[in-house]
Amino acid sequence: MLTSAVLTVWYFAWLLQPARVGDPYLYGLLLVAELFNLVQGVGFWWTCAFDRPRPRPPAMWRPEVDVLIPTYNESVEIVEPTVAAAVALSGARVRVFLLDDGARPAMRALAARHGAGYLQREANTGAKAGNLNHALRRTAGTFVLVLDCDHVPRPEFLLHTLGSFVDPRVAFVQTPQYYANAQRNRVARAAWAQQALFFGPIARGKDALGATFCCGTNVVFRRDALASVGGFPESSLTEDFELSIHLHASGWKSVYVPRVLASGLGPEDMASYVSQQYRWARGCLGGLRTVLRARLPWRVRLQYLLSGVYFLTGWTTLVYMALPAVRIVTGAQPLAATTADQFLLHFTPYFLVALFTVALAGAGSYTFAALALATASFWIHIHATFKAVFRRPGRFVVTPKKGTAGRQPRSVAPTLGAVILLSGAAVYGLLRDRDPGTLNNVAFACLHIGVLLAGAWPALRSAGPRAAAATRAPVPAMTSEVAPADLAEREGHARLEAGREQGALQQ
Amino acid sequence: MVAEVTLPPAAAAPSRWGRVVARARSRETLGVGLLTAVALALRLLVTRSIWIDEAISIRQARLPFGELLENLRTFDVHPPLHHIVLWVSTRWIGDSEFAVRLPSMLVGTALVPLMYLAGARLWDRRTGAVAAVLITFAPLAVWYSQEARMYSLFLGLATLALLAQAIVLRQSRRGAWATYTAATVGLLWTQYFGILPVAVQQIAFAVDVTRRRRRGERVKHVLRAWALSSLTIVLAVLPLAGLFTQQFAEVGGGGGGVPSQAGLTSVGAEDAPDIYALLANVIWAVWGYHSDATMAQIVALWPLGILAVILLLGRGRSPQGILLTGLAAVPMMLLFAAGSYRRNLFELRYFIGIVPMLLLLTSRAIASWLSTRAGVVLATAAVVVTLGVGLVDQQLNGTNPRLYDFRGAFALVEANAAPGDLVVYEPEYMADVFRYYSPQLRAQPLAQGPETRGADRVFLVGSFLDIPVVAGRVGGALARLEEERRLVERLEVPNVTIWVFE
Repeated sequence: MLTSAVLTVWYFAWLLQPARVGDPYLYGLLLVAELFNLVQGVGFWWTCAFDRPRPRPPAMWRPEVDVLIPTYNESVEIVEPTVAAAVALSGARVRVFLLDDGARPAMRALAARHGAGYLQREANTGAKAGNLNHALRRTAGTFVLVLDCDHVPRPEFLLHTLGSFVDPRVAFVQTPQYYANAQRNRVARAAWAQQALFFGPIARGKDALGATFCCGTNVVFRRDALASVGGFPESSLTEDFELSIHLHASGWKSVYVPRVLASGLGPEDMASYVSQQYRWARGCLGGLRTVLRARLPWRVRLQYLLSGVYFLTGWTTLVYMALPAVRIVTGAQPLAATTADQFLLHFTPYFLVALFTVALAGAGSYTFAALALATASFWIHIHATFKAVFRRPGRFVVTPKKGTAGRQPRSVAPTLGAVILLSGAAVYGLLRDRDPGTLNNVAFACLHIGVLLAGAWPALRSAGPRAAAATRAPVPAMTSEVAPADLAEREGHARLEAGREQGALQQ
Repeated sequence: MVAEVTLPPAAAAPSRWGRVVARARSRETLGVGLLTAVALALRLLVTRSIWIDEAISIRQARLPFGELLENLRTFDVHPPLHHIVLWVSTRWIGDSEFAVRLPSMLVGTALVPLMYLAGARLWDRRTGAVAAVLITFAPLAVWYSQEARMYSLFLGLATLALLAQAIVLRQSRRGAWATYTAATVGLLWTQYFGILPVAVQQIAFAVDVTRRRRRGERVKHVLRAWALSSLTIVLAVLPLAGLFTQQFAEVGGGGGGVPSQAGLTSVGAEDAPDIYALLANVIWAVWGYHSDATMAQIVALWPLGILAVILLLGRGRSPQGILLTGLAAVPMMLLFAAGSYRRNLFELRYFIGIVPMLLLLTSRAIASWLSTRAGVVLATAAVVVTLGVGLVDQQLNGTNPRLYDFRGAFALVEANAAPGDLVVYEPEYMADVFRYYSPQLRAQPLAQGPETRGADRVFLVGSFLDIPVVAGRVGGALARLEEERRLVERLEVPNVTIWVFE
């Protein structure tokens, strides 16, 4: 971390010299992008610096827990393993409720088959949050476990989470989301690699800083806490994020248990991924106003801001992509009075160490595919920013649980547009001139093209349908620390544990 | 009722010779054999003129053995293994261009099976096969296989030491320890900078022993073998200490006045090594030597290196990968740092061992990142195409600043000169190469004075004209000659210019 700090100062001290200013507008854009990344980087280091293994007390009593499983349009084969596993949860007096906004007889039958309650609404207002609030008014357990309908819990889920409620100020206990289909599906794998970094060092660090926020599933709430803030906010696309702010602002605490206790399904195709990311981006960016207005401890507020503004990253990608294209076409460039050698001398160590820090903190879980997918999704952040700034209402779209077999070029159309523009600029540059300066910018354009295409690739190739539900069979009774649900799950767990150990080593 | 079972007759165990034949017929062996033949052909196909340093080595090899050692002690900066090899080989097969380069060529060709074995031992046969293909076409491996200097031997011994270490780290075999020890001693007797990869390998042994201990394995026999190997290396290298001390007392480690890093002007690194020089050296190591303009263009593509770095994200790390990265990066970075103290220390030739390491890492990336055989073949073919382009440009492009066609230049002089003519050359260190190609011509270095009276015609041969001092001297001589005589012809071959005055 000290090395990172020194190299960051080394780079920015060079970059911020007045002599560096080339085209003032381009320089300004570059500076804003670099400073944004610096803030994100410092935030990452700060969060990870608090990454420590923290013992969690086991549950010493058997409270009443209502397990709420909202569903809308998912199939029985997706939902059934979750309901079956929920009724088998140990460590509490569990009552399972299937909250069906789809009003489907098959779901009613499914609930009856497993001895679970079935709740249905007259009107589906407030989307998932409305569904949950409706159930809260009809249930009475001391604690409430919320599971997305594709997230199959392990039997010991409550044993590992309820103990934290010994502290009466704890409002909720969040556990990681793990994508069981990560090993079988390219998009899910890349999405999981992104998640692994978040649910690894970042979530552990946030926990130590008292800033764990609810992620919508695999989370246990204290009913009193929910009631104190009026339940789940129904006006937000990310009701979990918004709810966490309200709870923290009301003085409640949150806890993160870094143990994979449920297996879900990640987005299996690009359309699903785009839908999920857009909802998160729109919700979190929209939630920034709430963060700024809420009365939160500064550390917690900063953590929320860091999480929220992460969804502006796409803008920096746009800037980095635009700069070489502008240089090739117009000759204008952001930096002046420097040589490539000087740039490399200052930028390379900073960049390499930043990348190494991410690799180290994530214990190798963050992959190129994850980075490429995030980069190729730059336009989602831009789209969501406009929606958030102009307060355009968003629509809660359930992330599809099953991928489509065909190609989905439309879901990456803006990415492909960027690839075409960059390719055009590169070809134009090569035809016009082959001096080192032009070649350097063509190489930058090719770098972006490569990453964008790698990220968009899953949408451009057809894949067979996935037998998703079969991969998430309920886990049998725990016989060891890691129940062998399947190899993929084991790997996910191992990565999280490795990250935890890494954190301990750093300590 | 008991079923009657008839067993087939037991197959006779193959004899040792039979096993050898069977192995020789295996597809891998045939493939590696074929590649070795291709490698030999490539190393024989296009050769270049004897270079200044080679001419020095040949002159030394012509001396009686005692005088050779004395010459090394007084005028050279390298350990003696290659000089001794050359001394012996010239007495057997003469000192023609082909003969003096034969040792380098043989070692350079043997790199193909060595790389296959190293890749296969470190990871798997697929990696080995890719590595064998890449080294066959690697421009720098070809280049130094065609040079009567110690760098091909450096490459071969570094690869052999790595291969032996790979075997030792898996299974502490006596033969592998002996090979490792011999290769390491050979490396140190070939190049003093061989100490850098040797140090990395010793650290790797230490790390391995520590890890084995942590796992609760018995390491006594490994420690014993390691200690014996280290002791042997130290004892075998001890005689070099005296030579090293005397050489550096005499020459000061400056490498004499011979230019070392031709071709750096394009990357602005004549004075002190910078990041561009570092990049240029990595590019040379993989794609060979090219003209200044080409190098400036290739180095400008550095953003693609960012792509290579981020491709590594989440790939995991293996001990073999870390060892190879260390063997590639540590010598280069240490000499890069040393280069800021003394520029000529940052020379690709001194860390030439990075070539097999980089190619093995590339091979591993190809063999492991691509899941299908077709993918591996395509990726290997793509890399080979880039290496091939690099090789052709390196060998045939006359603007390559390392291509000095002294052979062609002196052939031109010989074709045009008559008795009574005088050849004046600059710089002075062309003397050995001049003596090698045209010992019968009447010649003198420009530094001996501008006196040319009495000569019928004067051939002024100038080279290294990108060096300001040399260019200045040649320019001055031209001015004087133009006052006294008439310029009748100007002849040019790559990096050598001849002015003919009457």
